[in-house]
Amino acid sequence: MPLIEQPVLIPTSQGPAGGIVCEPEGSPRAALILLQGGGRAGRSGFSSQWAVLSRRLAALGATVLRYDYWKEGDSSMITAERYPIGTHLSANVARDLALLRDVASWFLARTGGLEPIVVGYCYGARLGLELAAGLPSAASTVLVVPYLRRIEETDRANWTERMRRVHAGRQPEDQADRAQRSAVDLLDPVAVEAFERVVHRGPSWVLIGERDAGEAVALAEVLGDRGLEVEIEPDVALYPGNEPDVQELVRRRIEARVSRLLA
Amino acid sequence: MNRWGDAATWVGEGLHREVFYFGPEKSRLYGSLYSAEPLSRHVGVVVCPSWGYEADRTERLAHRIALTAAQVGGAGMIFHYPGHGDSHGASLADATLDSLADAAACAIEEAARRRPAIAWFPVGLMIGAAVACIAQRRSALATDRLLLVQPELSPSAYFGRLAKSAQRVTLGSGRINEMSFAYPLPPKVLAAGTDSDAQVLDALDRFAGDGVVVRYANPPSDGTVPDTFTCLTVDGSWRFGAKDYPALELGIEEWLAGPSL
Repeated sequence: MPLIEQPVLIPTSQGPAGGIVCEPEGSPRAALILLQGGGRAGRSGFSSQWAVLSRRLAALGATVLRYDYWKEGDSSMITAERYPIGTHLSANVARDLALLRDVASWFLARTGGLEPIVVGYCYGARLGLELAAGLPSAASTVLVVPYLRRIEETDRANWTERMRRVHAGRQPEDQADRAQRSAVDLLDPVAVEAFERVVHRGPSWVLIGERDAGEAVALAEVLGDRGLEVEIEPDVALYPGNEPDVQELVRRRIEARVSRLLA
Repeated sequence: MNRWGDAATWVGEGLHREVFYFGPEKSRLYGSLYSAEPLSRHVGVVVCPSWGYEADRTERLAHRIALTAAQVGGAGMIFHYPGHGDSHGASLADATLDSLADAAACAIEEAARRRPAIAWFPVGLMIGAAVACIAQRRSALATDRLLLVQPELSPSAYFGRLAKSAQRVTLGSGRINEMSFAYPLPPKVLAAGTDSDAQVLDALDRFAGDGVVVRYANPPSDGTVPDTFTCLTVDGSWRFGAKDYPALELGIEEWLAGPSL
């Protein structure tokens, strides 16, 4: 299917945010916001992971927007100060969320009433969840390895440590530590509350790997039979997701889910 | 019909911003242009990024250079290599030094097409410095100037080192012979060995213009930059994969704002 792919500079209250819109020629069927993880690879992702996915989702019939977070890439002129990663996380999240709300408002106003779908990975899933919970209209959510812990938690293993553990065939977190605190205890009440709102307003699907941290499973237990679908991909960690096979798996699963939503 | 085209430009704070695709239909490249509005210096930089993971980690620096060039009255442009970032085209695994330099030369031509009154020259970040040297020779529209930032001018040494770092990080597991920090290593560049290095040296030998290097004091220069280049050394050490490079940024900003341009 022929696609239109157009870089854009989105006017926001914090300055211009750089994004890319990809859509099919003709009549799109949904307005999809694709939110990457919080790492430095930006909206295109490692090895253009999200750029490739956005083209595939557009080929399915969605108008897809992805954009650079605060001060990254083409959002270089966002003027508010950002704290270093690992400090003042709540403040950073609040600012990222404020920018996302401006971006989403611009995008959804221009897509003229198309059904919103929010797709997010890791930190982007967390932002997407909170966005969807506050949208004025119903939205579907597609969230892969969502970050559901308390934002200010400081003892989470860092990216490199988690990758080393996963490559060594272990869980990404220290199991002794996990045993002391149940996954339910680790859940951020803010995220739980957001899910409670989201599941009432549209289909909500979470994908995690069997080797990923288990907060999403705990979340399903907390929410019970209230419409949250959690799928577990066997024998794999979907985070950090820098292996090509894992990237392709994530893309295929998101593509299949969005295809169902558009059917 | 493209209903989003009107959002490809932004004007404010004395700047004009444009984002776009350019180049051949089958390998359209991503471009992002910053220019002063109005121009007060008719000089512009085209930033040749580094590679893979390092390009991701230094993208903020790349945009900072382009933005600064515009804020001091001129212009700056960023582009992504084929198969990298938002660009289309062959996978990074198929890259050669020639294909990267062709993309850089194409970016210089696009910058000149969009802002013909500006004298454009390439800036190379890390291994992008090797690309910039060749692109400067290759593009008829590039002026006789080069800015090399923390330059890596030996592709064989650079990619060899990258492969070894990747092995350490993955503890020897994963696709260590093919991948480096989530990016495919370029087998053609690795196979070319020192031939790629010779291409860079040849371009440097022929370069007779105004060459400047901005680099950290540590590690010390490996001697590959010709003596004819002006070397601006800033305090601190280069660290692979760092998120920010404030001293380097400041050194570049001072040079871009200074009288030599």
